[in-house]
Amino acid sequence: MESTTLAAISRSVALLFLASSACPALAQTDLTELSLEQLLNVEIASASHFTQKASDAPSAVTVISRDDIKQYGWRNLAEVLNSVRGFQTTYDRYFNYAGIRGFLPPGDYNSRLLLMVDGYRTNDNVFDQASIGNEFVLDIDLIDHIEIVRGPSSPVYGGNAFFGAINVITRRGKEMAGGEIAASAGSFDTHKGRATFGRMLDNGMDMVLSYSGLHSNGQNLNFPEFNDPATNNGWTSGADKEKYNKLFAKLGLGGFYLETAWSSRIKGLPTGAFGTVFNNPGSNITDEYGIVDARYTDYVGRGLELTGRTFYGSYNYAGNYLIDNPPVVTNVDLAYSRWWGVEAKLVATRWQGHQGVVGLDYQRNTRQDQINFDADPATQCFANASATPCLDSRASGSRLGLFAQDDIALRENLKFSASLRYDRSNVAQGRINPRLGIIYHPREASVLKLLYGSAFRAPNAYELNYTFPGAFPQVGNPALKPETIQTTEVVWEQFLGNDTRIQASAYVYQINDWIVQVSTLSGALQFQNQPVVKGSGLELEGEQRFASGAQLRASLATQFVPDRPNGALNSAPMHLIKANYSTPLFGSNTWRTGIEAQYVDRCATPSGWIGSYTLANATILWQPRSKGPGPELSFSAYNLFDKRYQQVFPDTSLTSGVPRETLAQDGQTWRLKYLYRF
Amino acid sequence: MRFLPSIFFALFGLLFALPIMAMEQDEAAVKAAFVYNFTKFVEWPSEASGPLQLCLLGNTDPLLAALLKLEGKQSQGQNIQVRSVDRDAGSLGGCRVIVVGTSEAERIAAILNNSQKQPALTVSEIDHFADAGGMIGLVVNNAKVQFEIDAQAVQRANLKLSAQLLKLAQKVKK
Repeated sequence: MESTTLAAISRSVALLFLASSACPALAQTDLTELSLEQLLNVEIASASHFTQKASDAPSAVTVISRDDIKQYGWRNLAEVLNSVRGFQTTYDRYFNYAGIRGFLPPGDYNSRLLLMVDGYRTNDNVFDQASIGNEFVLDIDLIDHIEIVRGPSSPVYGGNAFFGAINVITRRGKEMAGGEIAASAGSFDTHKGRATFGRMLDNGMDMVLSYSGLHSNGQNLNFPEFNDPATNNGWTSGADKEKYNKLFAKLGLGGFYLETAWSSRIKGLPTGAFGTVFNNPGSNITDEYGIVDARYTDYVGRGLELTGRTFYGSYNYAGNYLIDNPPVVTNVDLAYSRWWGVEAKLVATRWQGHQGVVGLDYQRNTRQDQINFDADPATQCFANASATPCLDSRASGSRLGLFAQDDIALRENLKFSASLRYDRSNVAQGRINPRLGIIYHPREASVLKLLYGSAFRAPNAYELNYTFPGAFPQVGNPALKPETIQTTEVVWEQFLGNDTRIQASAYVYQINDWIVQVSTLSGALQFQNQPVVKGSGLELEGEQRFASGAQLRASLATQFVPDRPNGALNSAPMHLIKANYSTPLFGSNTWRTGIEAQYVDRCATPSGWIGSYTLANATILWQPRSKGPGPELSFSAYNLFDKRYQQVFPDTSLTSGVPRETLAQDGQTWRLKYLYRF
Repeated sequence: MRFLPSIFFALFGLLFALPIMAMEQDEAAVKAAFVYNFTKFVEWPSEASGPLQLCLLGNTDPLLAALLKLEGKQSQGQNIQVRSVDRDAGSLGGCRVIVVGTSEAERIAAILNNSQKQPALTVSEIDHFADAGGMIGLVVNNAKVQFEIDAQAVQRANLKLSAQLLKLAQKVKK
């Protein structure tokens, strides 16, 4: 199989190069002969650009715009990532998990992915979690664009940017220039509303204020592991409810920005996971995020730009798990995460041929607390028949990072980028990670990048301290060492005219001291450092804009990681194929449709494999005006062909005693959304 | 389904081997033509002597690439010289027109601060350029290119724009 794929790859690559060299010169009238008046009447092809900025970045970057979010009807970041080359997400009816570069070990809370809002790190300090589902702190409709960076590419990021970093850039008041009211209704009694106001005042102050709320009754689901009359033949009712509230505010003046966001989501737990009583709506989980971020950028001298930032973050997790001890009691699982910090970055462009960056970031983790108890005054921990809580772990700490980078233009078309980052924290000794990159433009429209980067991730409070007794015990591991990764990558990007872009990349990486959850000899779960894991992969992407205003993006990712590195399960598929196509309908942008298809290869389960699946989503958008006051209406159908498919979520703690390997995912669902700008 | 990837690769190759069809006018070429026209309507102060230098600042993007083709064209009886400038402020000397590329969106303030010492017209397609202190911002509305002018910024640099140009601007900030 591999050999045929590789043969096909080599053939296609040959074809691509042929295509690029045979690209015909475009016959055009000489526009410079036209007067200004004439030029003002010339119609241009699609207004959207490829973000050329991406070309010189020392990494393989994907940029997703607000228009993309609109025309494909995406409801959260997980749906965005599903369309992005090399990414894949799974859902256990609680969180969404991102697989990247062939890595998707069940039980990992996206701790190897850095998720930022306007450069602010949203990963909490207990689970290091990148929240890409509905619990994400920001409403997706407030996003201007998303930059997705693969690999340990930049020294600016540090910590969690192990496999990649996602930076969500929020919209500006200037662009909104007024209010927006949005309401949507979808499958399973899902309703969402949003009210946003944004504008730029005459004194240059830019402001945004927004509230969003969602309520969903969820579905009645069937779980074959509970197929018994005593457990309603495996059917749940009312156990899949979801609700969230989100607030966002931003003020900007000159180089100063103050931003705050708050989000609280509560989700029912219908799956019977964690040994909970099946089909009881009383089991639920709440995730609450709060962020405050102040930053200032100023020009401080010839070719010197200084950015300073101070931030505060809080994350609370509260799980209410109904456990039949008996009697049925609520086991309460809590995490309190609090942190603040400062960042400073100086960008120097004053020396010919150099762009230098030096910076530091410091974060103080004031709370990294994890608590677990039974809500029963007599026995606070039934599992070990104790009157004290099952877990009461209080932790705090800090981390410091220093970094320096220099981009040297050796020649007009050749750039060398080198950086060093030093990190230390209360759980990891100081260490230095280098990154090197060569960026070469053999021709104007071609970029070749050779990249090497190393990164590390310190064990988090959950991996170090979470201990829970009982029938399915988990034991903390204070002796964990940080895990490290070395990645080498080659990227080729080619523009064919202004309308076609193709990109091919290949990477190899090696992880040392991989932190992964394993079963100990006593049967408890514990995070342990595992020896070397090696991975590699190949990605290919093409993007084409058509004169009609249509756009096509298609990609393939082939990734090679053992199914069971060191015996631990990895449920990442070997191949991912995606295609996204959006086009105006009836000859204008008033009507647009966006169609996407995703193929996910088979995945490893504890006992074998689950089959591949292909999903398709479609959205029709009506927007009589793209700017200014007016309405907008969209209808989206997700999983258009009602494909029945499974994702890997092993669970041996079910009360039915039947081990679970996979969870069925949603069939066809829909959403109708109305928006009015005023 | 295991052979799907091979098919995909083949289709993929084919897709991009197709010749690119004739299209509506290329946005970058239209914008470059605007920039060329602007050079005809600017009056520089007398100390700005020498050739009509058009300086490009930023990583190559479609507009900057299209502007390279203006080299040698005539404007106000002079030959246009197109020059790519590194980010270093020192080399902006002699620029009569500075076009700021999209790659520089985050450092507009610093660039404009530097270019203030120059009697040069600043032009860019970066969003809100004319609000951020730039002189002429190119914007796209309903698939047509328009421009906004910050008359104050023009005045500060001791430049004069013809009334015709101001009349055709979509917005003039005074």
